[in-house]
Amino acid sequence: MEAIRRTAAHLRRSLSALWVCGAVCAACAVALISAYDEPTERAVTGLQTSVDSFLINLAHDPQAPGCTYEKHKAFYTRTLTGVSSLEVRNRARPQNELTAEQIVLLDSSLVLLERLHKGKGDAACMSAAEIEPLRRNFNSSFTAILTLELAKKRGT
Amino acid sequence: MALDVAAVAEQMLQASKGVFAGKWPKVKAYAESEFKKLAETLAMIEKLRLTGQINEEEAALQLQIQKNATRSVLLTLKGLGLLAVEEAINAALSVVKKAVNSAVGFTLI
Repeated sequence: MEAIRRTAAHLRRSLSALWVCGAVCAACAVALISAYDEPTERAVTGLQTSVDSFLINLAHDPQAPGCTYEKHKAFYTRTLTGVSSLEVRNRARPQNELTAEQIVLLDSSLVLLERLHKGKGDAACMSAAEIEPLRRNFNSSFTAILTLELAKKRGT
Repeated sequence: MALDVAAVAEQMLQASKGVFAGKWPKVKAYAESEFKKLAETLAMIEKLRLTGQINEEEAALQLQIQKNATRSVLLTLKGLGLLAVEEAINAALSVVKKAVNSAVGFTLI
């Protein structure tokens, strides 16, 4: 009787172990990078529209005083705040170091753009020719972030 | 039915190769297009400096923005590479899953 009880207990333990093993293996799809995040996609798209529209407007009307840094300080404050929120969100996402680093680079580029704009002073502005490479570089940065984020939608 | 290790290994290899072959053309197209744009933009900055439209400090700031954009593109390529490796690993694991379930005769994993 005792032997039967021991065998039954052993069988129960073995079956439990098999179940655990099965469940672990079934759930063991490897993930090397974070999951897709829709709020990040929306925020990056919004920032791209805002920055590009700002640069296009500056290029279309490069006449002081309307185009000077003083007249556009609010744009930099608003945009850098948006990028900072995006950075905080993306730093909190697991396995998301690449996107977080891209956002840090974007923040750095916006600070450099602000320095360029400020450096023109009160009497002059950036010309359309100066703005063109800036637009292209910012769009490359935004495209890079979005390309990676969209690629995180596995199986699509 | 015993597991045929050599056959499973070959199937895993084929599954991984299939993933890489499918992903590479898209990654290549993205890299080519972005590197071309970045090179053209670099030429624009050089021309602005050589024609005196921007001073040395402004050229340095423009180049730093260009460097940031280039690094961002490279980070995307790194991410796309990781996603391809991830998909290849999971495709290979899926082959193992099928082989094990078939060998034991029921859905074990």
